[in-house]
Amino acid sequence: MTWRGRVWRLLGWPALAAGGMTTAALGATVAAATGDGLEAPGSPDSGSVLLPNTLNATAEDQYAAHRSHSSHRSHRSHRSSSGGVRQAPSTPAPQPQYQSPPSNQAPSVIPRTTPRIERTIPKPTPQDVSRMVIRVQAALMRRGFYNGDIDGLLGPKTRAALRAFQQTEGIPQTGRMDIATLTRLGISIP
Amino acid sequence: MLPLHTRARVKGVRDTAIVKVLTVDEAVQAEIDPERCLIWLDRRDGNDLEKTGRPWAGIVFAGDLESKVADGIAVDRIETPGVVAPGDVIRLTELSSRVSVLYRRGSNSNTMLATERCNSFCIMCSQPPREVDDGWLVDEMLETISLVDRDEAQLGISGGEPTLLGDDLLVVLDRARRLLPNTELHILSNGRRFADEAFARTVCAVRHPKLTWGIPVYSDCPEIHDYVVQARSAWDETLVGLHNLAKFKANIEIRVVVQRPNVERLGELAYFIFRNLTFAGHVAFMGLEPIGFARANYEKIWIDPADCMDALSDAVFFLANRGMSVSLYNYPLCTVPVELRPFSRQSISDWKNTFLPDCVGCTLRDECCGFFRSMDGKWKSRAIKPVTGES
Repeated sequence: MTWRGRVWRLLGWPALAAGGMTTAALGATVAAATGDGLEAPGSPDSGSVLLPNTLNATAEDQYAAHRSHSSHRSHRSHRSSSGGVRQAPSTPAPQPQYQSPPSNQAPSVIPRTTPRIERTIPKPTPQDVSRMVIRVQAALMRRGFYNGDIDGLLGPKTRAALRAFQQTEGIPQTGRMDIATLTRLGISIP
Repeated sequence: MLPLHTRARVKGVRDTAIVKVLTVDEAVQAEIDPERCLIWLDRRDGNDLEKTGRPWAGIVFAGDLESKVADGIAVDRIETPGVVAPGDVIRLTELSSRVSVLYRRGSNSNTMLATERCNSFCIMCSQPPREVDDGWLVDEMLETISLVDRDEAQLGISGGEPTLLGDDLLVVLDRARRLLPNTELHILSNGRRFADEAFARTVCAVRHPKLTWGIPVYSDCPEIHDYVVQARSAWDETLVGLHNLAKFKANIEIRVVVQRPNVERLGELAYFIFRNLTFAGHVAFMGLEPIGFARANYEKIWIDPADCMDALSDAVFFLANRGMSVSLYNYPLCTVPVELRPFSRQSISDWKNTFLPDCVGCTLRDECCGFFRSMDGKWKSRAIKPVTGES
């Protein structure tokens, strides 16, 4: 196996994508992958879901099409913290007066939120999008492509910076936060 | 002195709930998602919440709700009265009786914990760092910010070292800028990460209108500073960091915890600050807080405040005479010479503040910072006595 092949196999190691790598480490990986023109074997074209890189390799392009907040699922349904009780299913679940758990008994009486097994990734909330824009603005600023305010708003200045960055990277100048761009900025999709 | 935690009977919480406690009258008018409001009941059968027609998160009652059936969260039998009150933001956790106050309406010292991690290891650290994965604290801060009273005057962020959050700190600052533009935000940081100019640039590009960085410089002498913070090159990084922040027009407060290792060169430090950190908007000289690492390192750090006053006097007047804004924190007024007292501030957070039996009859008590609750005989200055008319 060539050294490129070896590097490639390392980069494609699924454990890295799943595991808790730090952003810095991910950034380094990205740099390694893109820095010397390393081409992925059989790399699909832009717009595809899978990228030839561990970073965001399993992510969907959910931040690329962001235009307005209106289409997003409400923040409420996305939150894990409060208010869940009010949204109990219409068939009334038993609501026991729970006191203290018996020491060696499975706490089956506690109503738990059903584990979410979803095939589709939920749409990002406005807060998620704004958080992603902030990371993008910061990453563009660090690379010298952006010198506006960091405000979490995907405005003309940020889009222009995205295009400039995309041009430098030789990827389609969409002005959007697509996966190819996020990956090259070293930003992983949560 | 009201603690930030208490126990209560807590029902109906799944996972974690961060909610704002409000009376029903206020809640109806508040621009807060009803599902994030916990309604404060004055009487067990006081309010008919059904009539409001809103899906409140639940109810709080200081006493015993007895058989009152609660739909949603129910908190009652609050162990320490007064810890939870309308206006507060609290955290409740499933299967736990603990109620934690994240924001207290009317407190002078609301502080959000950014992280428990730190890149320094200061010998007098009052909140020793822990290497834990506490990324959830970012979400807790974001939720807290969204529930803080819009007219709150000030809010602090502390740690650990908040800059270790990296870009997440930008998200927190941006949220505070959007939701609490009139609230002064005060962040305690060692400033070392700002040695990275690009990071300093991004943080300042958030343009929070009322943000101040409280950053310590313990000595003009790098070896002494690095010894205090127990990290090599920390002084270099902090100094570069301070200048980077200044370059991007950040508001800066220099914080000097006065202790045995640095008291001797306090005058030189004042000179250094005036010459090299003139951009600082405020310089605070601070007494020790006897908790955390400070207790473990008593022998290395303790010096009676009474023995610091000559050095403090030199340093404070050197800076004040040259137009810099200077304060004394954590020194009870009886330990401070009369001419320095105008610089003293009531700096000790209300929830850890107390007075001593010695204070009975003192005429300055109302203006005094008092004492840290964690103080004991070992940490008591020999100068402590009630101040009466003639002293």
